[in-house]
Amino acid sequence: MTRSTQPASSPSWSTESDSREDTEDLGASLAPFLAPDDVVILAGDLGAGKTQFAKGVARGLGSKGSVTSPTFNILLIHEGGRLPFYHFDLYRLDEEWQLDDIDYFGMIEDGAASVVEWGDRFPDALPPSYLDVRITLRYRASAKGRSDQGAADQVVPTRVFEVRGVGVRGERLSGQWATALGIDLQV
Amino acid sequence: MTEAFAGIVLAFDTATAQLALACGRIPDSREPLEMLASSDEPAYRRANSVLLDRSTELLASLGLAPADVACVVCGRGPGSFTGVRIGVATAKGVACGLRVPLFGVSTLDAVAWNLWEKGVRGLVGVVGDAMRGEVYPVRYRIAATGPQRIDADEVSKPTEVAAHWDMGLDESPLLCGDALGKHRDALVGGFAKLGIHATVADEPLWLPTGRGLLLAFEARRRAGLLGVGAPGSLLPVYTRLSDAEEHERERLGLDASGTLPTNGVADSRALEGVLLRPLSVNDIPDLLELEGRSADEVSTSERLTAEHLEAALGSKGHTWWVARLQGVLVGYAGLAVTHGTAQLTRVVTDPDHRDLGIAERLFSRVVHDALDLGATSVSAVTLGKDCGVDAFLGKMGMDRSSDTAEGSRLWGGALPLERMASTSEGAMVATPVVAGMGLGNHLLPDAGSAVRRPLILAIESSCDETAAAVIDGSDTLYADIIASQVDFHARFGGVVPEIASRKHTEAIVGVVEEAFARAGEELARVEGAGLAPSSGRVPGDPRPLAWSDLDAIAVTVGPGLVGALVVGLAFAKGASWATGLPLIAVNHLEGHLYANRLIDPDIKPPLVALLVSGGNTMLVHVRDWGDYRILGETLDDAVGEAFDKVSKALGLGYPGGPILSRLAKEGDSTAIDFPRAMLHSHDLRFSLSGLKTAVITYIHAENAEGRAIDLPNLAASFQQAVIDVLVAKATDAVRQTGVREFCMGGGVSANPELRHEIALAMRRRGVRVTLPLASSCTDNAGMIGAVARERFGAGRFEALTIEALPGMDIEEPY
Ligand SMILES: Nc1ncnc2c1ncn2[C@@H]1O[C@H](COP(=O)(O)OP(=O)(O)OP(=O)(O)O)[C@@H](O)[C@H]1O
Ligand SMILES: [Mg+2]
Repeated sequence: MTRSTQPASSPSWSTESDSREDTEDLGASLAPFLAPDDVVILAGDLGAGKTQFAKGVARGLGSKGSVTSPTFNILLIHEGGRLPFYHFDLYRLDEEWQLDDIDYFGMIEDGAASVVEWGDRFPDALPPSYLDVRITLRYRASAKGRSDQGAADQVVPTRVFEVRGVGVRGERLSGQWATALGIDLQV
Repeated sequence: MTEAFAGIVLAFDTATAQLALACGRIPDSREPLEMLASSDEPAYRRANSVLLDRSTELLASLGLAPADVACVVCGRGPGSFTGVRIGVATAKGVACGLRVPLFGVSTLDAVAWNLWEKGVRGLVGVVGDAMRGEVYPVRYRIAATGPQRIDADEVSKPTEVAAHWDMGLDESPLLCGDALGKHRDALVGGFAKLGIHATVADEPLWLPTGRGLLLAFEARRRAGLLGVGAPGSLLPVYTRLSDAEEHERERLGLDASGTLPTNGVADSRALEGVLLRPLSVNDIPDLLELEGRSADEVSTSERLTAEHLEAALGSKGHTWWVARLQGVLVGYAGLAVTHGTAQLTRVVTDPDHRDLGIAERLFSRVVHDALDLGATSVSAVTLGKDCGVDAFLGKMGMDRSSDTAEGSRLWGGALPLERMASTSEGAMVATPVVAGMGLGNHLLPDAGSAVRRPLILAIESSCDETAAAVIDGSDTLYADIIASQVDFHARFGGVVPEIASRKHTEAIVGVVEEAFARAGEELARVEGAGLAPSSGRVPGDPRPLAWSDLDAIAVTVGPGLVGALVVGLAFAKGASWATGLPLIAVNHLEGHLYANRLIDPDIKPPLVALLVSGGNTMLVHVRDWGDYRILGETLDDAVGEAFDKVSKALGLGYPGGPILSRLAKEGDSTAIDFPRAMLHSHDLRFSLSGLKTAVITYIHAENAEGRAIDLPNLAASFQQAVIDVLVAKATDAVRQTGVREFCMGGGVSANPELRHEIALAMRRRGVRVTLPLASSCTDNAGMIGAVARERFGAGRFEALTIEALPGMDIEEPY
């Protein structure tokens, strides 16, 4: 059967981060609005800052223990906070059907708040409602001919966060979070 | 035709929030089943902890015990994936443990049969919850004789069910099933739109019951639809993507001939039937027979003899593999490693079965073993006239180095051979695969040594791998099997894609059977292996190990991926329940520590261990066995993960570790100054994500400038940055704790440069170093057995209510 009906999605908004700490704080600022079965889809290239963002969410929820990259384990569970926190990473999955092997759809409806790194990997397998967070790197233009310096001298690119709510819960989260960050969606 | 068996039937279903349980009796294979007792209770997410105790209680209420069960019936879903998996894996454990047949029944059929028993008649729609806003809808027409299924299992949107059924409805359907909880309005509304009034059944009728399950089973039995009931071949219902198996087959190259070196004669089916395994004494007569028939193979001048092979079996540094097709020995290969060089002794295939790729597979097995035995190069001598063998060696990536005056040719190559690494994706023929000898030949028992109690079956399924091992009281491994590395298509008739990662439910029975078979063969060589009087095992008896030979069953309970852990655990618990053998729980990380003890029995705490793998990067202070303190771990990425991601960012393959370390050999490690994160943090924590990002930023910058990236230099500089931090922190840890012993574990400890530098740094400080063999670095069940042996001695057994602990902490005693 086809999945033709696209859930409604609200207009997107964006914000920026210039440091690891900024990104973590952004995650923490979303946490108060998360409810059971909410899903945050995190998209962005290798090293974009998805795990850093998830650290902030866990902190905001009051989860115990340290948050590390779930790439190998695919799912790391953090308890002890206001809600159980399920930290997924679909990077190592090659095929959509492998989502069933990890019981992805069962787990995201298990009463926890889920953050899914590489959650956009299988476009046909997005949940009916979710918050879409896309992180892109903006490199500042560097003057030509000055780049034989060591890697240590590299300029750190800005992280641009593009946020969009999909479905009822997603739209609501998007709105609440924007308001908390002082971003006016009416304009 | 009814199936010819009789006795007590135990049935359960855990696919929904309800634990459905029932017990019946088939007095005689021609007689109808009698319902004896049933119990249904809500067990949402607790099925794994209560299922077996409830089964014991139900049987006890009838004056019965597990050993009385003659047949197991299990709900296969569709339903919750974890729920179904727990039920199916438990059922497999019980059926294997009791050596009785196992039959699957549709969970939706069980719901329909329950309705029938409650007197419902007419058109019924059973609609199960499929998560992600979808449902599993199936129509039944219930007559006085029972429900007749109208649809096959499938997935649908709740609003589309009515239109999809498209009934020329003269009858209004009665809806039930657990999807009604979430989607009642959407379902009923869908019918209303078509002008149909759908009735919703009372809520207690929505879920499967034990009685419904037994009735559904009985209907299949009376219809002669049961089959043989092999526990290994029962699968959960995979409805979501009915072509899942297709994908899998394609991916594995089982259907796509392009990935296999076939040429008309061979087809992939034939290849599937070929089973490779390490040589055992029982293979020797067949091997010598084939040796006699083949002349033109890679060979030294003298013929192989039984004495030669028996000696090779018992001594370190030799590896031999055989290939069997439908039981007939069709090929063999062997080599011996001396002073770091693997001398290829034979690669022989039956002339009637050429072109099946058997030689390639045998070759890659022995060469991979050679790597584990410490070989850095491989050589071979070919005799006689230039023939197919020379072409074969060339194809395998070896170089013809010289020809002798006598007309023999000398072949050589550095390990790992280029070809083995570059074709690891998809191609079955040259995938570096090892089975059976996971921990190296020297751990196999010497002929003549005695088995020490306890003999333990260990099971591991914490993330990607399904593995099983048999270990005895002196840490001798009689079998050490990893699913992804075993050819056991033959066992499943090529139907089950059991090689795939995380297909634990499919692989578990085959892996355990393979471990039993291997252990049986090994035990046959051991004197005094008359294990249990009941097993009737005498020395030389090559039969597979039996449960009655064992003293305990051990299993990894955490940390890991919850959906993976539950399978091994449910199976182990089922088998423990069935056999009465005690159950031992093991922490996966503790297993990695014990892997070192398998290599060097003299290693003694206090010591510091560095665990570096795809999922872990930590320094552990082992104050005593069982008493651990984490000195520091990664704050973000694991070391293995960093290697994989950098490799991927460079467009190189997976896994990244071996690829980058090989490239690094030709590069300048000082070429690029990557950050050494946390080097001066004055603690023992690690951070790898900054390095990952620095490499990616570097690549971006170079691309932006239009400069080509020097891969060897980048690989060497990256690797050096990682090693510098690991070595510095490891030596700090040793200094801070004052220990005199150091060891490593996890996949990254196979990195040659890391091994070299860490060994050097430790020896300089007078610290004794134990480095694991490459093959025992990765996840395996042998190491789980090693921990279990110690826990057995301390009497640390578990109740059958134990659950998986995905976040299990190594510091906490258990
Ligand atoms: N503004 C920023 N926000 C987040 N991270 C930043 C920022 N600036 C620099 N960084 C660095 O970038 C890296 C982000 O790594 P992280 O592991 O979070 O990425 P990721 O998106 O999870 O990558 P992966 O795809 O490998 O999972 C960190 O090393 C962090 O210090
Ligand atoms: Mg990440």
